[in-house]
Amino acid sequence: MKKSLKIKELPIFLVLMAGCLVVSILTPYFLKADNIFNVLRQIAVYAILAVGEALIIITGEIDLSIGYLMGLSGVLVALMAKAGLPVPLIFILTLMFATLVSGVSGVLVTRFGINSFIATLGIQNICRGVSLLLTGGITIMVNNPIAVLGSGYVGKMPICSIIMLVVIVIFAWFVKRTQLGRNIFAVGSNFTAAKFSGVDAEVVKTKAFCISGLLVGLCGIISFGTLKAADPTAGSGYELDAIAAVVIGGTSMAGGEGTIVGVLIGAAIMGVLKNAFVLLKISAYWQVIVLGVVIIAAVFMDSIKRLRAEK
Amino acid sequence: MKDLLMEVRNISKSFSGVQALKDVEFQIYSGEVHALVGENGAGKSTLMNILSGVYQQTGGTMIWQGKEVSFQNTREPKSLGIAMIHQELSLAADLSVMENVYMGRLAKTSFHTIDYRKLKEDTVKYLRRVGLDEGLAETKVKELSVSQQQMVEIARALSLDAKLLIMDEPSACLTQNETKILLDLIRELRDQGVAIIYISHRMDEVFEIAQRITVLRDGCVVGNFMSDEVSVDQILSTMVGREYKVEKLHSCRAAYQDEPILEVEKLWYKNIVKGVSFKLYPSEVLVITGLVGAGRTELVETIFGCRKATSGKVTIEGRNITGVKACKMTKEGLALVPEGRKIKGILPQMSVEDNTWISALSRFTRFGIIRTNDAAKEVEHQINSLNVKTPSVEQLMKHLSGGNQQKVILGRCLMCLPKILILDEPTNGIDVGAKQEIYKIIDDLSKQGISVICISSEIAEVMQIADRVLVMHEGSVTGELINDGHLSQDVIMQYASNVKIQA
Repeated sequence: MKKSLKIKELPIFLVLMAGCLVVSILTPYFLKADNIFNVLRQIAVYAILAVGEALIIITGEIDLSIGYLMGLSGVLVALMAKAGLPVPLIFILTLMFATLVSGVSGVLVTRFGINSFIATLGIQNICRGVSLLLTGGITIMVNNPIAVLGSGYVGKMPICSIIMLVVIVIFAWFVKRTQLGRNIFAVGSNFTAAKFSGVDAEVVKTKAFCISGLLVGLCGIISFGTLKAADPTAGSGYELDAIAAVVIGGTSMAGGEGTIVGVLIGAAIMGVLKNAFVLLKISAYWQVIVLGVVIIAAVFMDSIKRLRAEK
Repeated sequence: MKDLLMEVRNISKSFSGVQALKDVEFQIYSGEVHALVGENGAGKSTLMNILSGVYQQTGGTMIWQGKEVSFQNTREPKSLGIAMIHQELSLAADLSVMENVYMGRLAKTSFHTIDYRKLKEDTVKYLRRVGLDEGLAETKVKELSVSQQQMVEIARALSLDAKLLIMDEPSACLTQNETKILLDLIRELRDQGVAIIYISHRMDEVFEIAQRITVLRDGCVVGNFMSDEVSVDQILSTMVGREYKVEKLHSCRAAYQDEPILEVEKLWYKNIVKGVSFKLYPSEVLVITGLVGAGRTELVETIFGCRKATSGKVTIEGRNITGVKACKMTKEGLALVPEGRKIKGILPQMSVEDNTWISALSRFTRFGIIRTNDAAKEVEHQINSLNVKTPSVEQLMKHLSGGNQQKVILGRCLMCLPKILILDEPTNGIDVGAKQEIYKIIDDLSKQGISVICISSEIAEVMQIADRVLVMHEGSVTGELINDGHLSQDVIMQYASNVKIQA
């Protein structure tokens, strides 16, 4: 039996290309290398967060805590840097911490049966509160070599964008070619059937939360690095932008469907949009409104397809 | 001669080029039960959906009490007095019975608030007609049994002053007693002059209440009989389009002299499975039968670890596996094709390939990474040997027909190389052709030395595949029979309803 070659991401990729075309006609500066690298740098954190969020959404759950958890991770990086811990230790401890916190969300959802929307809303508030407590509400500025992950460049390419591309490649492979990756889809597609097929569904969900946590920790380090400072309110609203990128990228909120490359394209569409408004010097308020329209339009396309299929 | 209520002339319906119905002719008389039978996909539901206004026909006419009618929506047939009771009930579980009966047209007081007193009075009238207790009017629907809910649906249809009642497999989820109540009610309604179209797969029911039987095959009417002039075999032969006879398809290979491969000892699950013990031998096909609600599904799901046994012991080849979780069972050599494909079986948005290999991935991974080529080769082997009809392994599972989905789930289990395969109503809702293929697969498995436990409610199926039959009644095994080719429906039913057999 031959495998048919169908690229699921093609429609939104075309949307992205069309968007780029329109913007580049309106302002030639858009296609300048500096600007492209700038966009890649801006979307890095969103895209990495969105990959983790996508895994969770594919299992049929949601995580609202990732924004503030990223902020809290950044605060920890700053505090550890101030305390003079070695860079590798800061790196590892931060990732472990964020993985653990998301793991707790996962356990609350799978073992204690708490709705993921509520459980992660609680975790979100706890993270925000802890960040404020640790910093006293004041931004902590530290100079530490770990900041290179957020503000460094290789040639003109921002290091954080390289990290983003590596994360995308790894996870695009991960969901297709590993048992855990396929199980994540199976659990979201039909939880009961997955259990009957011998998939340890609760454990799979918890692992998805943990992987997302790991990526959140990574983003915490990057976002600290970008400013060489930890702002206790950093990360606010990032979870919603990440969810938006996931949804624009064609992942179903009902679970069981989605692609990692789609997540990158979704994040890119949002990045291009934001960039265009800056370049065209249109009010940032309009940018937010248009983003809202784009999110609805993306899901609308999907639901039209579904409604047509049902008829 | 009864009054002709409705006539369907040359009705055709095609869906984007596929002909679902072709020149169907059909007469409905007041005060008569008209059974509509046919295999799955024969066009029964399409025809009923046209009569109730869900679909519009592409050709032909409908005559209602002498006048030509055509329905553009579901309201028009309702206003004429055509009520359809779907297989899946459409009641609001959290509302009371009376609110459900009068949903959308609640009695109002002069202040436009709901007039509960009148509502109750009206509802009680119809509850009485369907034989429900009057006190139930204010009970929430979710507190009723399934059969009572069905009666509420019928009460609602009657309150709409239905002259024609269409019932799509109303007995599918009912116990034997509940079915009896339903059939009594249908007879009563018939005597009151209501016309009833009764769709069912159960021939005994059809022959019990229907005066007229119409057989559909491939979208055409292939037979129209009066029930007292035709035999069950004749109907079945007409349905499948060839000679139909029940015979044992496979010869017993069970190694009863060997050690049993599976032993279940005094297994309890809550109050649903009550101390069941049995042994399964290598190459044996053991069928568990009984009425719906006898605890058969709960029994196998407890064995498989999806439900936690209250007490008792399960051993495979002497190893105690009691309390092992379902996700570890494939390693123990146990695989389950669960009942209810849609709920417990398919992964709808995933490909056929994913659906097939999902259980067996551990066999094809190293450090969690799938050796895709090996796994895909095995998937292809399963798909081909089970004769799954799909354009490619990339096809999404939800686009496959029920029979093909079932075969994919079978393939999923076989890829785990089980020693024991449990099948829970594997042929439910799939057509006769696919059924025969599944029987053939079961036979092949026993040839390969795999032991099979199969739950089945269909006597014909039991006769075809079983080496040994366990009959369950209310959580206990009430009978154990060897299938020597002389099993009869009567004997099994006596055990299933736990009536003492007279010597």
